[in-house]
Amino acid sequence: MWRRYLEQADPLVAAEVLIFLFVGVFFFWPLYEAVQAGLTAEGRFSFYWLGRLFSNRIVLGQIANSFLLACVTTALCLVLTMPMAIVSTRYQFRGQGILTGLLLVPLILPPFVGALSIKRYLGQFGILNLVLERLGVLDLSSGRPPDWLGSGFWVVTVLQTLNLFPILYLNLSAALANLDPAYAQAARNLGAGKWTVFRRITLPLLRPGIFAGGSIVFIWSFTDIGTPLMVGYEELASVRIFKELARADVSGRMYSLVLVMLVLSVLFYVLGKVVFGRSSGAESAKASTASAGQRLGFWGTLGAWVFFGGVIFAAILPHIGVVLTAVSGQWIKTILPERYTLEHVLFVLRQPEPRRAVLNSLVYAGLSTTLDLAIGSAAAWMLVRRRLQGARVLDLCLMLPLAVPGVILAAGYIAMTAPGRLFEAIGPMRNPTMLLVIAYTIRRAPFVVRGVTAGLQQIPETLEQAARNLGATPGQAIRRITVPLIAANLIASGLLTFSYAMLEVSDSLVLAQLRVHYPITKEIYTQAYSANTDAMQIAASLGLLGMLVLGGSLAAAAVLMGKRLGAVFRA
Amino acid sequence: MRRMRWAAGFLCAAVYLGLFGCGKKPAGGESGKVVLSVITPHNENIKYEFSRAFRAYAKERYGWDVEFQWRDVGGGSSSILQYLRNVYAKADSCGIDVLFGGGEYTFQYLDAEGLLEPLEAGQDVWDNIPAVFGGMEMYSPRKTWCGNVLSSFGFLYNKELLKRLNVAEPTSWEDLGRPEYFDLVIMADPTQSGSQAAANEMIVQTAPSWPQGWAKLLLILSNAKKFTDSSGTAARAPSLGECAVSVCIDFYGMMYASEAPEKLGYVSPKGQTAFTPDPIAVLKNPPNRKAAQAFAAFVLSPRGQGLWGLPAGHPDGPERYRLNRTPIRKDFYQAYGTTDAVLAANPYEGGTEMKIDAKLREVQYGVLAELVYSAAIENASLLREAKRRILERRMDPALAAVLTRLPENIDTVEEIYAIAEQLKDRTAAERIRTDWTAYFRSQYQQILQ
Repeated sequence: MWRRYLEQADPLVAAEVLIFLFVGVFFFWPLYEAVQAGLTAEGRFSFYWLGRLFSNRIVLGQIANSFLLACVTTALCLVLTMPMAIVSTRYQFRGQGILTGLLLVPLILPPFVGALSIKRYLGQFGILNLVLERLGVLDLSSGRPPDWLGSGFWVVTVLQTLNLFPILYLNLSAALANLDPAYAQAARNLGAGKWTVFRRITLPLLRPGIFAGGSIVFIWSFTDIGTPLMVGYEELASVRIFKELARADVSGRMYSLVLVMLVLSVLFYVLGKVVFGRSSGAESAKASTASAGQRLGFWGTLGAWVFFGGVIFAAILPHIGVVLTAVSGQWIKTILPERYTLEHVLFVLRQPEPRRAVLNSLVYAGLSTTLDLAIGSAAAWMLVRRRLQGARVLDLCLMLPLAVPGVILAAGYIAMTAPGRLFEAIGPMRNPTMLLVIAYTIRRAPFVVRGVTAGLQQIPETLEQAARNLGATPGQAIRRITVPLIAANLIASGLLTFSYAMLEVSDSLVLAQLRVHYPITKEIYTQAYSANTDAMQIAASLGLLGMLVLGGSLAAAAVLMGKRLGAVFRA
Repeated sequence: MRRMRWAAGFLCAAVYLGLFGCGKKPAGGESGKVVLSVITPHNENIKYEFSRAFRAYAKERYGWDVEFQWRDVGGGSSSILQYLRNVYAKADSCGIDVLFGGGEYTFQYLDAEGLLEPLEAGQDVWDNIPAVFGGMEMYSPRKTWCGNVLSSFGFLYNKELLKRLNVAEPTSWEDLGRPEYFDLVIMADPTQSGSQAAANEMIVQTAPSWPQGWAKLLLILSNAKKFTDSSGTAARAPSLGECAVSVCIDFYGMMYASEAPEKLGYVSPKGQTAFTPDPIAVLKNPPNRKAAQAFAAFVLSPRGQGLWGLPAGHPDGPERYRLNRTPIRKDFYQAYGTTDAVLAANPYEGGTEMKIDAKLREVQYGVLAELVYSAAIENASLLREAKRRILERRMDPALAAVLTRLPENIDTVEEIYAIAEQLKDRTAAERIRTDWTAYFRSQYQQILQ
């Protein structure tokens, strides 16, 4: 009977059940394990902590600040990336390949050491103020110099924008690459001006791409901890969660705040979906002809260089700081290091541990990206094409991990794999490889779900139906028609997923406990926070190694994919 | 063909995960091989020296081949405490043998929760370590944990920067509270950093009374431009140009200052800091009890003490790295005097340490950390603004009194004891914290108005 049932079952429904099961076991279960204290008081189910939370004006103010921060960062990212994506996909100019490639530089910035570079630049007695003093703008002995890091909210938005814009840029580029230029040409032929075409034709057709990147940037910024902590701006709900989590005695109120952030993320996401996420319907169409790409003249090229160059320069500053720290001998309160040495870089290269950590990172990130592409694409397909029952819920479930701090999930995994419990065999006390791959997969799945959903929404279903009418099996139609058409989205999501998995921090800090299992990020962390005096140089050298490996992996991917990568950066 | 490639890819991934993804139980006992799992906030140099020395010792003494598993759960004492509580809430054993290092409070909490086993160290250990020193307990009355090195507290400062800002170098805690230090100090959050909590305690206890101690501490807190999540981050700040002074534990301070003595200076204020123990303990139901006890005994033996206090390359010392810490055993100083040992100061002879009220410290520790959290961490920006306003009014005594006034339920020593009891209940603790935060906020707003 089971056999007959299995033969009759729709494989897609079976896949949906499997994905639900996966998300249930590895997201909702650990989440429940970690935050149940937020819904219990005196041993019983209770809204006591939620009540305490909503009666606390400081916390409410911090939630409002987080919302404002997410709005401003998303808007800034959009304003910054829209012209860049349009110029890079619609025009051709000298040096375009290099510039568009360098725009992805934030994706290879290792954590901790990147943050320390920024402190070195913007600290009250940091490089910027020293340069200003040298230029005669500031006088350190007559008064206190401005503390750029201490100026809070706006510094956080700028740094977040510089960190997150590649997500929106890649999604917008992929969306623009999918647009059929015939629509814009038709509008121009009918007398519409460039602005009207952009507003009435391009922008509505780009909605899926904007939503795909924007929703991730929004939720990321809403729940981001790294940038505000680095700047020391603490009036945010996410920072409160982080700070309270670091305490040995965590109160139920903190867990209820996690739940509130989760619910708010869902609400904002659903709201965004209603406003931006709707597919523009049957009229959306994959480009039947590639846009020719207008060549820019001298002034146009210069303008593009200045614009792209400015953004890249700002984004690349932390990387320069990492490189300089790695090769510095001593660097205390001077604009540049007082002396240079390769000692630390060579030390790192000679040790076996960094090599093993790089290999571990590649394995964790590689396997989790593969799983993400499989799960995310399947979920997107169910949502857009098959409109399966429950697919919307699945879509939402796969977005939620973005809103949950990694340390919360990690604490849940620790509880699930404690000695004697069901998942002990994959726990950190034994070998956490599988658990780390699963954790990375869960936390990065939104990139693929959003990216592929946007792609599918932009290509007409009729193309697949035509293939089916001509005798193709469903599998063939997907392989031969759909996958090539959404290649740009798959590649963009794959790049983002892989890069952010390589730079993953919070799960690894807790789950990779033995040095043999450390990914490169934890290797950097242990160095950056060790008390040795050369810790910074060693950590920066490890960061440099990480940057080279990740940059190299992305370059290798570009070479392997050849023209297909061009689908994202179509000139 | 392509399908085959995909299938092969998935097969490889599955085989990889099958082979390496699921772990076997750690081996132990087979043909002399012993796995020892240790959780610690100590750095790689310390791990290297202790694993090398203990491996040699265990081979010679027991014939064991010891394999160390150094566990790191991503953080300092508070992360370790949280992790252990999380695991013990679900299981009888946490799968880890030894907790090595961290503030003594982590150990006191774990001991009170029944998560430590009595140490089986020899009598010579207890003979050579005072039960109490400078008012501080050096090991627990049940002998479930025992200090193995001593730490004191002070401040690291950027000499050049202070000179350019025309500010005198600090020599006492009071100096850090002076108006000219406004916005120049960085401290760690005491709820996350055990050493900052200990330093706060020293600051308060060097004043004649509790309200005066609090006022002294709050004047320093209000000079802080920032509170970091770890004392290591705070210690690094003067060399990064983030601030001019940071409060830190002695060995961080001395280490940074010795790297660039012309630019950085470190001071443990004379008579204003006690020595606190940095302990070791065997965790409840360790997977390998015998090895766990042997390792703890080794760390507390003269051989283990030599690793902490002797120079690298010394026959009884570390092989590669100078660990530069203050050993706790008295016989270490008798054996090596001050000529041979790295550290010149014998803490038991110096007479420079302060005497601390250990009982008050024990209850006050948690209370003070919460109070600082509410007054300074939760209200960081308002506190700074309020202090700025007071400085603009040339330290107007009336305004300064508003700034340093304690909440009514905690303004006497007796109330500290009462509040400490209440803080044991999480629901009450949250309520107290919220009330205090609101209280301080209104005080600061009053100053600003």
